[in-house]
Amino acid sequence: MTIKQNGFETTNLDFSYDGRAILKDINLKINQGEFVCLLGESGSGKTTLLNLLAGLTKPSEGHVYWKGKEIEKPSAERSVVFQDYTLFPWLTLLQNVTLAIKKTKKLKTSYAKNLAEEYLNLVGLSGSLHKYPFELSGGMRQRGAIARALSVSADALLLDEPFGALDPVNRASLQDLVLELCRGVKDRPITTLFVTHDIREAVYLGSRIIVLGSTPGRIIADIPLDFPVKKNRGEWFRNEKVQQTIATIEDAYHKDILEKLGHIVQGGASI
Amino acid sequence: MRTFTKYLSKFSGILFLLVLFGIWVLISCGPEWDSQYLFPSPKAVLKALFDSREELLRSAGASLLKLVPAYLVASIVGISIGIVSGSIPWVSNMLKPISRFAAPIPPNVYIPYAIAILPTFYLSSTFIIFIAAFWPIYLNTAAGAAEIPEKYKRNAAIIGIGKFEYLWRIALVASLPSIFSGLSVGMGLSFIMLTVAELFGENTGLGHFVQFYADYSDYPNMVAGILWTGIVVLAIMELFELVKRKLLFWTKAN
Repeated sequence: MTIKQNGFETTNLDFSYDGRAILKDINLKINQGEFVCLLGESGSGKTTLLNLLAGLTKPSEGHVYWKGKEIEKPSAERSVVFQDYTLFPWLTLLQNVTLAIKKTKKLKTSYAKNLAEEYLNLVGLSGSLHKYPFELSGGMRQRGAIARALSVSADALLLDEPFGALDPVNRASLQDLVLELCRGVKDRPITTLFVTHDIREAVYLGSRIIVLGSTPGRIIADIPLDFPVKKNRGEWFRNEKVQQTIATIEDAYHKDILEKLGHIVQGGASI
Repeated sequence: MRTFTKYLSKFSGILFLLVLFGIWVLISCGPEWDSQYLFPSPKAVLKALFDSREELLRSAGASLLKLVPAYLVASIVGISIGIVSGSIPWVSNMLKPISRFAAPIPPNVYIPYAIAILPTFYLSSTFIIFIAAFWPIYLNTAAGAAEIPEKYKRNAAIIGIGKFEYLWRIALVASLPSIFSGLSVGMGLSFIMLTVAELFGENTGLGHFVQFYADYSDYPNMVAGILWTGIVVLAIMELFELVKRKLLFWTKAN
Protein backbone atom coordinates (compact mmCIF):
# COMPACT_ATOMS: atom_id res chain seq x y z
CA MET A 1 0.00 0.00 0.00
CA THR A 2 1.49 3.28 -1.07
CA ILE A 3 1.11 6.42 0.98
CA LYS A 4 -1.63 8.63 -0.40
CA GLN A 5 -0.29 11.96 -1.51
CA ASN A 6 -2.32 15.10 -1.67
CA GLY A 7 -3.36 16.17 -5.12
CA PHE A 8 -6.06 18.78 -5.12
CA GLU A 9 -7.34 20.45 -2.03
CA THR A 10 -9.89 23.19 -1.63
CA THR A 11 -10.71 24.92 1.62
CA ASN A 12 -13.92 26.91 2.22
CA LEU A 13 -14.11 27.58 -1.48
CA ASP A 14 -16.75 30.08 -2.58
CA PHE A 15 -17.34 31.38 -6.05
CA SER A 16 -19.89 33.94 -7.09
CA TYR A 17 -20.48 35.69 -10.35
CA ASP A 18 -22.45 38.92 -10.75
CA GLY A 19 -23.48 38.64 -7.11
CA ARG A 20 -24.89 35.16 -7.62
CA ALA A 21 -23.40 32.33 -5.60
CA ILE A 22 -22.29 29.56 -7.96
CA LEU A 23 -20.26 27.43 -5.53
CA LYS A 24 -20.56 27.51 -1.79
CA ASP A 25 -18.30 26.14 0.88
CA ILE A 26 -16.53 23.46 -1.10
CA ASN A 27 -14.06 21.49 1.00
CA LEU A 28 -12.52 18.82 -1.10
CA LYS A 29 -9.47 16.60 -1.03
CA ILE A 30 -8.39 14.54 -3.98
CA ASN A 31 -5.40 12.25 -3.64
CA GLN A 32 -2.87 11.82 -6.38
CA GLY A 33 -3.81 9.04 -8.74
CA GLU A 34 -7.49 9.15 -7.88
CA PHE A 35 -10.12 9.11 -10.62
CA VAL A 36 -12.89 11.36 -9.40
CA CYS A 37 -16.12 11.83 -11.27
CA LEU A 38 -17.92 15.07 -10.58
CA LEU A 39 -21.64 14.68 -11.09
CA GLY A 40 -24.26 17.38 -11.12
CA GLU A 41 -27.09 18.89 -13.07
CA SER A 42 -26.42 21.73 -15.46
CA GLY A 43 -26.01 24.89 -13.44
CA SER A 44 -24.57 23.11 -10.43
CA GLY A 45 -21.18 24.71 -10.95
CA LYS A 46 -19.29 21.58 -12.08
CA THR A 47 -17.50 23.42 -14.84
CA THR A 48 -16.72 26.32 -12.54
CA LEU A 49 -15.13 23.95 -10.05
CA LEU A 50 -13.06 22.38 -12.83
CA ASN A 51 -11.94 25.82 -14.03
CA LEU A 52 -10.92 26.71 -10.48
CA LEU A 53 -8.83 23.55 -10.20
CA ALA A 54 -7.28 24.27 -13.60
CA GLY A 55 -6.42 27.80 -12.51
CA LEU A 56 -8.49 29.34 -15.30
CA THR A 57 -10.73 31.07 -12.74
CA LYS A 58 -9.91 32.55 -9.36
CA PRO A 59 -12.03 31.79 -6.28
CA SER A 60 -14.07 34.55 -4.65
CA GLU A 61 -13.31 33.15 -1.19
CA GLY A 62 -11.20 30.30 0.10
CA HIS A 63 -8.21 28.54 -1.39
CA VAL A 64 -7.37 25.95 -4.03
CA TYR A 65 -4.19 23.92 -3.74
CA TRP A 66 -2.37 21.50 -6.00
CA LYS A 67 0.24 19.32 -4.30
CA GLY A 68 0.13 21.64 -1.31
CA LYS A 69 0.74 24.81 -3.31
CA GLU A 70 -1.88 27.45 -3.98
CA ILE A 71 -3.04 27.44 -7.61
CA GLU A 72 -2.43 30.80 -9.22
CA LYS A 73 -2.56 30.28 -12.94
CA PRO A 74 -3.16 27.57 -15.52
CA SER A 75 -0.35 25.10 -15.98
CA ALA A 76 0.46 22.18 -18.20
CA GLU A 77 0.73 20.10 -15.03
CA ARG A 78 -3.05 20.20 -14.92
CA SER A 79 -4.26 19.62 -18.44
CA VAL A 80 -7.84 20.24 -19.50
CA VAL A 81 -10.05 18.59 -22.11
CA PHE A 82 -13.19 20.57 -22.84
CA GLN A 83 -16.45 19.38 -24.35
CA ASP A 84 -16.15 21.51 -27.44
CA TYR A 85 -13.16 20.39 -29.38
CA THR A 86 -10.30 22.63 -28.53
CA LEU A 87 -7.61 21.69 -30.99
CA PHE A 88 -6.51 24.72 -32.99
CA PRO A 89 -8.37 24.32 -36.29
CA TRP A 90 -5.56 25.77 -38.40
CA LEU A 91 -3.06 23.13 -37.28
CA THR A 92 -2.97 19.42 -38.07
CA LEU A 93 -3.28 16.89 -35.26
CA LEU A 94 0.47 16.40 -35.21
CA GLN A 95 1.13 20.15 -35.25
CA ASN A 96 -1.36 20.68 -32.43
CA VAL A 97 0.28 18.15 -30.15
CA THR A 98 3.80 19.15 -31.20
CA LEU A 99 3.09 22.78 -30.36
CA ALA A 100 1.85 21.85 -26.90
CA ILE A 101 4.92 19.71 -26.22
CA LYS A 102 7.28 22.34 -27.57
CA LYS A 103 5.78 25.07 -25.44
CA THR A 104 5.65 23.11 -22.20
CA LYS A 105 8.83 21.10 -22.39
CA LYS A 106 11.04 23.48 -24.34
CA LEU A 107 12.08 20.69 -26.67
CA LYS A 108 13.47 20.93 -30.18
CA THR A 109 10.82 20.54 -32.87
CA SER A 110 12.10 17.16 -34.06
CA TYR A 111 12.01 15.66 -30.55
CA ALA A 112 8.64 17.20 -29.85
CA LYS A 113 7.32 15.77 -33.10
CA ASN A 114 8.45 12.26 -32.28
CA LEU A 115 6.90 12.47 -28.85
CA ALA A 116 3.68 13.85 -30.33
CA GLU A 117 3.51 10.91 -32.72
CA GLU A 118 3.90 8.53 -29.80
CA TYR A 119 1.00 10.06 -27.94
CA LEU A 120 -1.20 10.12 -31.01
CA ASN A 121 -0.42 6.44 -31.54
CA LEU A 122 -1.44 5.84 -27.96
CA VAL A 123 -4.95 7.16 -28.60
CA GLY A 124 -5.24 5.30 -31.90
CA LEU A 125 -4.73 8.19 -34.28
CA SER A 126 -1.55 7.08 -35.97
CA GLY A 127 -3.31 7.11 -39.35
CA SER A 128 -4.50 10.71 -39.09
CA LEU A 129 -1.40 12.60 -38.00
CA HIS A 130 -1.55 15.10 -40.83
CA LYS A 131 -5.29 15.67 -40.84
CA TYR A 132 -6.85 18.94 -39.79
CA PRO A 133 -9.56 18.98 -37.10
CA PHE A 134 -12.27 19.75 -39.67
CA GLU A 135 -11.39 16.54 -41.48
CA LEU A 136 -11.95 14.43 -38.36
CA SER A 137 -15.03 13.10 -36.61
CA GLY A 138 -15.99 14.37 -33.16
CA GLY A 139 -14.62 11.24 -31.52
CA MET A 140 -11.29 11.53 -33.29
CA ARG A 141 -10.96 15.18 -32.37
CA GLN A 142 -11.57 14.32 -28.76
CA ARG A 143 -8.95 11.59 -28.96
CA GLY A 144 -6.58 14.24 -30.26
CA ALA A 145 -7.47 16.57 -27.41
CA ILE A 146 -6.76 13.78 -24.92
CA ALA A 147 -3.43 13.02 -26.59
CA ARG A 148 -2.49 16.66 -26.36
CA ALA A 149 -3.56 16.90 -22.73
CA LEU A 150 -1.44 13.87 -21.80
CA SER A 151 1.52 14.79 -23.98
CA VAL A 152 2.48 17.78 -21.87
CA SER A 153 3.32 15.40 -18.99
CA ALA A 154 0.28 16.39 -17.07
CA ASP A 155 -0.01 14.96 -13.56
CA ALA A 156 -3.66 15.88 -13.49
CA LEU A 157 -6.24 15.60 -16.19
CA LEU A 158 -9.37 17.70 -15.94
CA LEU A 159 -12.09 16.61 -18.33
CA ASP A 160 -15.20 18.75 -18.75
CA GLU A 161 -17.97 16.57 -20.21
CA PRO A 162 -15.50 15.46 -22.86
CA PHE A 163 -17.83 12.94 -24.47
CA GLY A 164 -21.05 14.90 -24.18
CA ALA A 165 -21.37 15.39 -27.92
CA LEU A 166 -20.45 11.87 -29.00
CA ASP A 167 -22.58 8.94 -30.13
CA PRO A 168 -22.86 5.95 -27.75
CA VAL A 169 -20.37 3.72 -29.56
CA ASN A 170 -17.65 6.34 -29.71
CA ARG A 171 -18.45 7.32 -26.19
CA ALA A 172 -17.96 3.83 -24.84
CA SER A 173 -14.66 3.31 -26.61
CA LEU A 174 -13.35 6.68 -25.45
CA GLN A 175 -14.40 5.93 -21.89
CA ASP A 176 -12.32 2.77 -21.98
CA LEU A 177 -9.42 4.68 -23.48
CA VAL A 178 -9.50 7.29 -20.72
CA LEU A 179 -9.70 4.59 -18.08
CA GLU A 180 -6.68 2.85 -19.51
CA LEU A 181 -4.64 6.01 -19.97
CA CYS A 182 -5.37 7.47 -16.57
CA ARG A 183 -4.30 4.32 -14.86
CA GLY A 184 -0.88 5.62 -15.75
CA VAL A 185 0.97 6.58 -18.85
CA LYS A 186 4.53 5.37 -18.61
CA ASP A 187 4.07 4.46 -14.93
CA ARG A 188 2.94 7.93 -14.06
CA PRO A 189 -0.29 7.87 -12.04
CA ILE A 190 -2.64 10.58 -13.18
CA THR A 191 -5.08 12.42 -11.00
CA THR A 192 -8.28 12.72 -12.93
CA LEU A 193 -11.35 14.86 -12.47
CA PHE A 194 -14.07 13.88 -14.89
CA VAL A 195 -17.08 16.17 -15.07
CA THR A 196 -20.29 14.65 -16.39
CA HIS A 197 -24.01 14.65 -15.80
CA ASP A 198 -24.36 11.01 -16.80
CA ILE A 199 -24.60 8.84 -13.68
CA ARG A 200 -23.76 5.61 -15.51
CA GLU A 201 -20.69 7.17 -17.06
CA ALA A 202 -19.54 8.43 -13.67
CA VAL A 203 -20.03 5.07 -11.98
CA TYR A 204 -18.26 3.24 -14.79
CA LEU A 205 -15.20 5.47 -14.78
CA GLY A 206 -14.68 6.75 -11.27
CA SER A 207 -12.87 5.44 -8.25
CA ARG A 208 -14.83 8.03 -6.36
CA ILE A 209 -17.91 10.08 -7.13
CA ILE A 210 -18.70 13.54 -5.91
CA VAL A 211 -22.22 14.82 -6.43
CA LEU A 212 -22.90 18.54 -6.55
CA GLY A 213 -26.30 19.91 -5.64
CA SER A 214 -27.35 23.03 -7.44
CA THR A 215 -27.96 26.71 -6.71
CA PRO A 216 -25.54 27.23 -5.17
CA GLY A 217 -23.30 24.29 -6.00
CA ARG A 218 -22.25 22.34 -2.94
CA ILE A 219 -21.15 18.79 -2.28
CA ILE A 220 -24.19 16.65 -1.46
CA ALA A 221 -22.58 13.24 -1.71
CA ASP A 222 -19.05 11.85 -1.76
CA ILE A 223 -19.00 8.17 -2.59
CA PRO A 224 -15.87 6.01 -2.82
CA LEU A 225 -16.28 3.16 -5.30
CA ASP A 226 -14.69 -0.25 -5.24
CA PHE A 227 -16.00 -2.32 -8.06
CA PRO A 228 -15.00 -5.52 -9.83
CA VAL A 229 -12.68 -5.23 -12.80
CA LYS A 230 -14.42 -3.91 -15.89
CA LYS A 231 -14.26 -6.64 -18.47
CA ASN A 232 -17.63 -6.74 -20.08
CA ARG A 233 -19.57 -3.52 -20.05
CA GLY A 234 -23.06 -5.05 -20.15
CA GLU A 235 -22.33 -7.63 -17.47
CA TRP A 236 -20.61 -5.07 -15.32
CA PHE A 237 -23.62 -2.76 -15.34
CA ARG A 238 -25.88 -5.68 -14.29
CA ASN A 239 -23.73 -6.20 -11.16
CA GLU A 240 -25.87 -5.65 -8.08
CA LYS A 241 -23.35 -3.47 -6.29
CA VAL A 242 -23.11 -1.21 -9.31
CA GLN A 243 -26.86 -0.91 -9.60
CA GLN A 244 -27.13 -0.10 -5.92
CA THR A 245 -24.61 2.71 -6.28
CA ILE A 246 -26.48 4.15 -9.22
CA ALA A 247 -29.65 4.08 -7.15
CA THR A 248 -27.93 5.81 -4.23
CA ILE A 249 -26.73 8.62 -6.44
CA GLU A 250 -30.13 8.99 -8.04
CA ASP A 251 -31.64 9.28 -4.59
CA ALA A 252 -29.21 12.00 -3.61
CA TYR A 253 -30.09 13.87 -6.78
CA HIS A 254 -33.82 13.56 -6.29
CA LYS A 255 -33.62 14.60 -2.68
CA ASP A 256 -31.77 17.74 -3.69
CA ILE A 257 -34.30 18.56 -6.38
CA LEU A 258 -37.26 17.84 -4.12
CA GLU A 259 -35.81 20.02 -1.38
CA LYS A 260 -35.43 22.86 -3.82
CA LEU A 261 -38.97 22.38 -5.10
CA GLY A 262 -40.07 22.48 -1.46
CA HIS A 263 -38.35 25.85 -1.08
CA ILE A 264 -40.12 27.18 -4.10
CA VAL A 265 -43.51 25.93 -2.96
CA GLN A 266 -42.98 27.37 0.49
CA GLY A 267 -41.83 30.66 -0.98
CA GLY A 268 -44.87 30.76 -3.20
CA ALA A 269 -47.21 29.97 -0.34
CA SER A 270 -45.91 32.81 1.78
CA ILE A 271 -46.93 35.45 -0.75
CA MET B 1 -37.37 20.68 -71.19
CA ARG B 2 -35.88 20.28 -67.76
CA THR B 3 -32.38 20.00 -69.10
CA PHE B 4 -33.00 23.16 -71.12
CA THR B 5 -33.95 25.22 -68.05
CA LYS B 6 -31.01 23.71 -66.20
CA TYR B 7 -28.61 24.92 -68.87
CA LEU B 8 -30.39 28.26 -69.03
CA SER B 9 -29.81 28.72 -65.31
CA LYS B 10 -26.20 27.57 -65.55
CA PHE B 11 -25.26 29.94 -68.35
CA SER B 12 -27.61 32.77 -67.42
CA GLY B 13 -24.66 34.98 -66.48
CA ILE B 14 -23.06 34.70 -69.89
CA LEU B 15 -26.44 35.05 -71.63
CA PHE B 16 -27.18 38.25 -69.74
CA LEU B 17 -23.77 39.65 -70.70
CA LEU B 18 -24.62 38.87 -74.34
CA VAL B 19 -27.96 40.67 -74.00
CA LEU B 20 -26.22 43.75 -72.59
CA PHE B 21 -23.68 43.57 -75.39
CA GLY B 22 -26.55 43.43 -77.89
CA ILE B 23 -28.11 46.55 -76.40
CA TRP B 24 -24.72 48.28 -76.66
CA VAL B 25 -24.48 47.29 -80.34
CA LEU B 26 -28.05 48.47 -81.01
CA ILE B 27 -27.46 51.87 -79.40
CA SER B 28 -24.08 52.53 -81.00
CA CYS B 29 -24.50 50.93 -84.44
CA GLY B 30 -28.26 51.08 -84.94
CA PRO B 31 -30.25 53.90 -86.54
CA GLU B 32 -28.47 57.19 -86.13
CA TRP B 33 -29.48 59.62 -83.40
CA ASP B 34 -28.23 62.88 -81.89
CA SER B 35 -25.93 61.87 -79.08
CA GLN B 36 -24.74 58.65 -80.63
CA TYR B 37 -21.12 59.85 -80.48
CA LEU B 38 -21.35 59.42 -76.67
CA PHE B 39 -21.74 55.68 -77.23
CA PRO B 40 -18.79 54.43 -79.28
CA SER B 41 -19.30 51.09 -81.01
CA PRO B 42 -17.65 47.93 -79.65
CA LYS B 43 -15.37 47.98 -82.65
CA ALA B 44 -14.19 51.54 -81.92
CA VAL B 45 -13.61 50.68 -78.27
CA LEU B 46 -11.65 47.56 -79.15
CA LYS B 47 -9.54 49.59 -81.52
CA ALA B 48 -8.93 52.17 -78.79
CA LEU B 49 -8.00 49.39 -76.36
CA PHE B 50 -5.50 48.06 -78.85
CA ASP B 51 -4.08 51.41 -79.97
CA SER B 52 -3.67 52.73 -76.45
CA ARG B 53 -2.36 49.45 -75.04
CA GLU B 54 0.96 50.89 -73.99
CA GLU B 55 -0.58 53.90 -72.33
CA LEU B 56 -3.16 51.68 -70.61
CA LEU B 57 -0.47 49.40 -69.25
CA ARG B 58 1.54 52.38 -68.07
CA SER B 59 -1.56 53.82 -66.41
CA ALA B 60 -2.30 50.56 -64.66
CA GLY B 61 1.33 50.44 -63.49
CA ALA B 62 1.16 54.00 -62.22
CA SER B 63 -2.07 53.27 -60.36
CA LEU B 64 -0.68 50.12 -58.78
CA LEU B 65 2.41 52.03 -57.73
CA LYS B 66 0.13 54.21 -55.62
CA LEU B 67 -2.26 51.52 -54.54
CA VAL B 68 0.07 48.70 -53.52
CA PRO B 69 2.39 50.57 -51.11
CA ALA B 70 -0.49 52.47 -49.50
CA TYR B 71 -2.58 49.34 -49.14
CA LEU B 72 0.31 47.28 -47.77
CA VAL B 73 1.19 49.87 -45.16
CA ALA B 74 -2.49 50.17 -44.22
CA SER B 75 -2.72 46.38 -43.87
CA ILE B 76 0.39 46.06 -41.72
CA VAL B 77 -0.51 48.99 -39.48
CA GLY B 78 -4.23 48.15 -39.36
CA ILE B 79 -3.73 44.46 -38.57
CA SER B 80 -1.04 45.08 -35.95
CA ILE B 81 -2.99 47.72 -34.07
CA GLY B 82 -6.20 45.76 -34.54
CA ILE B 83 -4.78 42.57 -33.01
CA VAL B 84 -3.35 44.45 -30.04
CA SER B 85 -6.47 46.49 -29.39
CA GLY B 86 -8.78 43.51 -29.87
CA SER B 87 -6.79 41.46 -27.36
CA ILE B 88 -5.96 44.04 -24.69
CA PRO B 89 -8.99 45.85 -23.21
CA TRP B 90 -7.23 49.05 -22.15
CA VAL B 91 -5.80 49.59 -25.62
CA SER B 92 -9.24 49.04 -27.09
CA ASN B 93 -10.76 51.55 -24.64
CA MET B 94 -8.05 54.04 -25.49
CA LEU B 95 -8.66 53.80 -29.25
CA LYS B 96 -12.43 53.52 -29.23
CA PRO B 97 -13.33 57.25 -29.08
CA ILE B 98 -10.95 58.26 -31.86
CA SER B 99 -11.93 55.38 -34.13
CA ARG B 100 -15.64 55.98 -33.52
CA PHE B 101 -15.13 59.58 -34.61
CA ALA B 102 -12.59 59.26 -37.41
CA ALA B 103 -13.58 56.01 -39.13
CA PRO B 104 -16.87 57.25 -40.62
CA ILE B 105 -15.30 60.38 -42.18
CA PRO B 106 -15.33 59.79 -45.96
CA PRO B 107 -11.65 59.74 -46.98
CA ASN B 108 -12.20 62.03 -49.98
CA VAL B 109 -12.81 65.02 -47.71
CA TYR B 110 -9.12 64.81 -46.75
CA ILE B 111 -8.00 65.30 -50.34
CA PRO B 112 -7.71 69.12 -50.41
CA TYR B 113 -5.89 69.14 -47.09
CA ALA B 114 -3.62 66.28 -48.08
CA ILE B 115 -2.67 68.18 -51.25
CA ALA B 116 -1.99 71.27 -49.15
CA ILE B 117 0.24 69.67 -46.53
CA LEU B 118 2.03 66.93 -48.45
CA PRO B 119 4.84 67.89 -50.84
CA THR B 120 3.76 65.80 -53.86
CA PHE B 121 0.56 64.61 -55.49
CA TYR B 122 1.90 61.08 -55.24
CA LEU B 123 2.17 61.31 -51.45
CA SER B 124 -1.27 62.84 -51.08
CA SER B 125 -2.97 60.17 -53.14
CA THR B 126 -1.17 57.36 -51.31
CA PHE B 127 -2.12 59.01 -48.03
CA ILE B 128 -5.80 59.09 -49.03
CA ILE B 129 -5.68 55.45 -50.13
CA PHE B 130 -4.00 54.56 -46.84
CA ILE B 131 -6.78 56.24 -44.86
CA ALA B 132 -9.47 54.52 -46.95
CA ALA B 133 -7.97 51.08 -46.46
CA PHE B 134 -6.84 51.51 -42.86
CA TRP B 135 -10.16 51.92 -41.05
CA PRO B 136 -12.01 48.86 -42.32
CA ILE B 137 -8.88 46.72 -41.87
CA TYR B 138 -8.26 47.98 -38.36
CA LEU B 139 -11.91 47.79 -37.23
CA ASN B 140 -12.48 44.28 -38.60
CA THR B 141 -9.23 42.95 -37.17
CA ALA B 142 -9.98 44.40 -33.75
CA ALA B 143 -13.51 42.97 -33.81
CA GLY B 144 -12.16 39.56 -34.84
CA ALA B 145 -9.48 39.50 -32.15
CA ALA B 146 -12.00 40.56 -29.53
CA GLU B 147 -14.33 37.72 -30.47
CA ILE B 148 -11.83 34.87 -30.38
CA PRO B 149 -13.57 31.93 -28.71
CA GLU B 150 -12.70 31.55 -25.05
CA LYS B 151 -11.62 27.97 -25.76
CA TYR B 152 -8.60 29.05 -27.81
CA LYS B 153 -7.50 31.45 -25.10
CA ARG B 154 -7.83 28.78 -22.42
CA ASN B 155 -5.95 26.29 -24.47
CA ALA B 156 -3.18 28.75 -25.11
CA ALA B 157 -2.97 29.50 -21.40
CA ILE B 158 -2.81 25.82 -20.48
CA ILE B 159 0.00 24.94 -22.86
CA GLY B 160 1.93 27.94 -21.63
CA ILE B 161 1.66 30.41 -24.49
CA GLY B 162 2.59 33.80 -23.06
CA LYS B 163 0.78 37.10 -23.57
CA PHE B 164 3.01 38.36 -26.36
CA GLU B 165 3.20 35.06 -28.18
CA TYR B 166 -0.58 34.77 -27.94
CA LEU B 167 -0.95 37.90 -30.06
CA TRP B 168 0.76 36.54 -33.12
CA ARG B 169 0.44 32.79 -32.70
CA ILE B 170 -3.24 32.61 -31.72
CA ALA B 171 -4.98 35.98 -32.06
CA LEU B 172 -3.56 36.76 -35.48
CA VAL B 173 -4.45 33.37 -36.95
CA ALA B 174 -7.81 33.00 -35.25
CA SER B 175 -8.85 36.47 -36.45
CA LEU B 176 -7.92 35.77 -40.07
CA PRO B 177 -11.54 35.39 -41.23
CA SER B 178 -12.47 38.89 -40.04
CA ILE B 179 -9.09 40.28 -41.10
CA PHE B 180 -9.90 39.13 -44.62
CA SER B 181 -13.31 40.74 -44.64
CA GLY B 182 -11.62 43.97 -43.54
CA LEU B 183 -8.95 43.58 -46.22
CA SER B 184 -11.57 43.09 -48.89
CA VAL B 185 -13.66 46.12 -47.85
CA GLY B 186 -10.44 48.12 -47.58
CA MET B 187 -9.39 47.00 -51.04
CA GLY B 188 -12.67 48.15 -52.58
CA LEU B 189 -12.51 51.51 -50.83
CA SER B 190 -8.90 52.08 -51.76
CA PHE B 191 -9.71 51.46 -55.43
CA ILE B 192 -12.43 54.07 -55.23
CA MET B 193 -10.16 56.57 -53.52
CA LEU B 194 -7.34 55.83 -55.93
CA THR B 195 -9.42 56.71 -58.97
CA VAL B 196 -11.02 59.69 -57.23
CA ALA B 197 -7.57 61.04 -56.34
CA GLU B 198 -6.43 60.52 -59.92
CA LEU B 199 -9.47 62.30 -61.35
CA PHE B 200 -8.65 65.26 -59.11
CA GLY B 201 -5.07 66.15 -59.49
CA GLU B 202 -2.86 63.32 -60.66
CA ASN B 203 -1.40 63.21 -64.12
CA THR B 204 -0.86 59.47 -64.22
CA GLY B 205 -2.96 56.38 -63.56
CA LEU B 206 -6.23 54.84 -64.67
CA GLY B 207 -8.43 57.60 -63.27
CA HIS B 208 -6.35 60.18 -65.08
CA PHE B 209 -6.53 58.22 -68.33
CA VAL B 210 -10.34 58.25 -68.25
CA GLN B 211 -10.54 61.91 -67.23
CA PHE B 212 -8.00 62.95 -69.89
CA TYR B 213 -9.90 61.41 -72.81
CA ALA B 214 -13.24 62.61 -71.44
CA ASP B 215 -11.84 66.15 -71.51
CA TYR B 216 -11.06 65.70 -75.22
CA SER B 217 -14.41 64.00 -75.92
CA ASP B 218 -12.49 60.92 -77.13
CA TYR B 219 -15.20 58.52 -75.99
CA PRO B 220 -13.80 55.30 -77.51
CA ASN B 221 -10.62 55.77 -75.44
CA MET B 222 -12.59 56.80 -72.37
CA VAL B 223 -14.79 53.68 -72.50
CA ALA B 224 -11.68 51.60 -73.16
CA GLY B 225 -10.16 53.11 -69.99
CA ILE B 226 -13.25 52.18 -67.96
CA LEU B 227 -13.25 48.61 -69.30
CA TRP B 228 -9.52 48.27 -68.66
CA THR B 229 -9.96 49.53 -65.08
CA GLY B 230 -12.63 46.86 -64.61
CA ILE B 231 -10.27 44.18 -65.88
CA VAL B 232 -7.43 45.30 -63.61
CA VAL B 233 -9.66 45.43 -60.54
CA LEU B 234 -11.16 42.03 -61.36
CA ALA B 235 -7.69 40.48 -61.71
CA ILE B 236 -6.54 41.87 -58.37
CA MET B 237 -9.72 40.75 -56.62
CA GLU B 238 -9.35 37.23 -58.04
CA LEU B 239 -5.77 37.09 -56.79
CA PHE B 240 -6.99 38.27 -53.42
CA GLU B 241 -9.64 35.52 -53.30
CA LEU B 242 -7.01 32.94 -54.16
CA VAL B 243 -4.79 33.99 -51.25
CA LYS B 244 -7.82 34.10 -48.96
CA ARG B 245 -8.92 30.57 -49.86
CA LYS B 246 -5.38 29.30 -49.27
CA LEU B 247 -5.09 30.89 -45.84
CA LEU B 248 -8.61 30.20 -44.62
CA PHE B 249 -8.81 26.52 -45.56
CA TRP B 250 -9.42 25.60 -41.94
CA THR B 251 -12.69 27.52 -41.64
CA LYS B 252 -14.51 25.04 -43.90
CA ALA B 253 -16.32 23.13 -41.21
CA ASN B 254 -16.43 25.71 -38.44
